[in-house]
Amino acid sequence: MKKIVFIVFISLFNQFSAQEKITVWPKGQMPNSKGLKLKIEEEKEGRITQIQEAELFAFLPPKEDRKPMAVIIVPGGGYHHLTYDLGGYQYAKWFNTLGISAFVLNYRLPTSPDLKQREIGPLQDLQAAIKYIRKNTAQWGISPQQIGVLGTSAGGHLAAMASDITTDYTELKGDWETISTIPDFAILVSPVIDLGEFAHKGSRVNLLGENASAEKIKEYSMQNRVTEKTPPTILFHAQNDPAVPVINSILYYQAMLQNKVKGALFIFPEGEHNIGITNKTELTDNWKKLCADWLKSIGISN
Amino acid sequence: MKKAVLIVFISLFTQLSAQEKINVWPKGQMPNSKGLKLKTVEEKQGSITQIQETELFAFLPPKEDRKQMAVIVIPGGGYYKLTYDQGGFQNAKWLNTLGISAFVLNYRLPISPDVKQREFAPLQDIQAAIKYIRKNATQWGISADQIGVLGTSAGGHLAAMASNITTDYTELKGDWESISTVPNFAILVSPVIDLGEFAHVGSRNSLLGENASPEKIKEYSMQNRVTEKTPPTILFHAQNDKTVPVMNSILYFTEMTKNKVKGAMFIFPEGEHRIGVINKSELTDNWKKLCADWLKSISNK
Repeated sequence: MKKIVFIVFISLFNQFSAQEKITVWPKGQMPNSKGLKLKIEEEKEGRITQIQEAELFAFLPPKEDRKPMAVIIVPGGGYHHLTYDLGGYQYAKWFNTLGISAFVLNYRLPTSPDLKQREIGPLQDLQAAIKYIRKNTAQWGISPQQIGVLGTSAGGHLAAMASDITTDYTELKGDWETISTIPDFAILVSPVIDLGEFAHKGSRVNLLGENASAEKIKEYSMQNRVTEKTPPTILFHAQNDPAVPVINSILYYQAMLQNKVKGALFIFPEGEHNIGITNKTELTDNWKKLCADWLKSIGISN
Repeated sequence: MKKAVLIVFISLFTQLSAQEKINVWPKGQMPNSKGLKLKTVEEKQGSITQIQETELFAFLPPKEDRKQMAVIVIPGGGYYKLTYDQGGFQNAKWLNTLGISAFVLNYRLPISPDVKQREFAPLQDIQAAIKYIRKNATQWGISADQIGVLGTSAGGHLAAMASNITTDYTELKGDWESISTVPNFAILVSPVIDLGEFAHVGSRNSLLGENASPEKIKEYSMQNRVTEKTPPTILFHAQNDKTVPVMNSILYFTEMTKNKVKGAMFIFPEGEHRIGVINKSELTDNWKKLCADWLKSISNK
């Protein structure tokens, strides 16, 4: 009897894990790497400061509840660390409750000693992740035309980069080449957008280095990169955000309006830099209902 | 027996009417008037183009449900008409379902032939209405310092004027003088804010006339009038509003943020120029929940 219990436990942990870990890059094809061997460093619980290579954690709803839509979750952390639990797994679980598949991306940080060119490391990883998921949609029963991104804080900056930058930096060849790197929609939560006047300085310094030129700052301020081809985008921000000023979201949304990009902008009085799955104020907690209704309105049903 | 029924009916209509009509100005004290006798003109059902004098329609929730908070509902209509039913009564009924007292204001329109200085008249009326309600708050069991305004479209412009213009234009004397004309909070739905680049041209022409100077336009573009004393404000707008561009709300909220005025802004993809109590889109319909939660968060009781 004890033996049976033991076997059941092992199979639970191996086969029925809530999340599956996926290595994004095909073996030996990760670009922009010096080939260093790095350890994963978790400076405190839920916060990783260094990874070896880009990883996705797949969270799938039960087959019966699963819709064709999927979202890649891009954790924040000022381009210095990855808040993979609070800004990653927690969102993924919530998406699963809506029947939406979720993939949490742990991307290489621009501060990694293994990178040759710091500012394109995170973008390469997200672009490859979008391709990987589109390539493998059939195995999960999702649609390659309903792959969105959700980014919080600096993860919002990375999600906006993927939305606006059409150059494919993955260097992947063969049947990978024809797969688009642009998400079908974007959800930006307390996003870093501007790297100039309204910048979260830590994010700018980590992404571009200490002495970035004015041209570089302009190039990586995402309000300057919005075009008519930017996918539909919904933004959430708190007016009292002390880390990333609310004007970041306003600038991006105004650029969307000028380029006739469909979307929405929701600014709450409170929530600070902590809009998330659990919220202190009842008003701010409505962001989830707004987001779910928006996803319903843009989703193509089964 | 029949007589008794008749008496009950009469008292229902006289005493227990859902809304009570109030004359805002004390007799003979309405300023900015040529003294013409005008008729109320309802061009079509729910849309009034001319009134004789300023009126408030009081909508009170049952005593047991009644909170301390009250809202003056300011209908829109491009400053040439009053959508008093859909933009007024309907919002008032909804506020009542939250336990909030509501007063629908039919203000003098700037195009009225009775008005001496067109652009002051609507502001004078809302200022007097705010004073009137504060003066009489105890009779309704509401609090004089929880009096807000809700304005739709051009009514949003008028609500923003009341929020930002601290000069008292009512000319009321005596114990009226010490009562503030500035609301405690504002709810702006698809508001007209800018009268320049992003103007709803009809509203500008009705308020300021056809050939307003750039100075006048700047003065009456409400984003230029926000100060640190502007009360907390929540804005709702639809991105696909073809009548009043969504930039109107964005300009106002940006100035609020610069001036550290607390508030919120919710821009929905759809809803056009008709965000209201009933909405086509499920997403846009959430504005009522957002508004109710915000009101809860700023109320004292």
